[in-house]
Amino acid sequence: MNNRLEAIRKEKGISQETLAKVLEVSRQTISSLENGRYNPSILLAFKLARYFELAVEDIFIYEEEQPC
Amino acid sequence: MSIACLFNINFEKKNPDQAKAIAVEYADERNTIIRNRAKSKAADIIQVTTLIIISLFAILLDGPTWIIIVLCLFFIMYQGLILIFMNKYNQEM
Repeated sequence: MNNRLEAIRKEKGISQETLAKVLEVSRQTISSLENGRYNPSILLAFKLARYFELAVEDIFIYEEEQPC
Repeated sequence: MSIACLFNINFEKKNPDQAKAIAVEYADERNTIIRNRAKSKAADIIQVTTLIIISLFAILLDGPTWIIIVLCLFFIMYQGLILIFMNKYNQEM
């Protein structure tokens, strides 16, 4: 799933380490989220949205998979 | 309580910040998913290699019957536990 997490985080001037500490997750989780290699749980998605004071849809971009 | 447990308690007393960081890393959702997948994969591999292949070798090489019976029991126990946990999680979720 694509997301704008990295852009939003850099906009607010927050490091991955700080964000991970606030959300009580590992820095590797934040890194994997930003690279799109890992999709967060709904709880983590809401925590992120609440932290940045944005809607979940503003951070995570849901694109329906095209059928073959 | 094991010696490792006592060592952990001592470590937590001396390094509370590090202990908290380790606890956060352990409870991290991505790490939990990775750990569970790894355990599941390892159990599947053990099931195939240890139980089935060793059983076959024991049968083909005319090994003692009790080994084959024990391995079969472990196989049944493994499958039984899978069903029990699937049922449990099915009801919980």
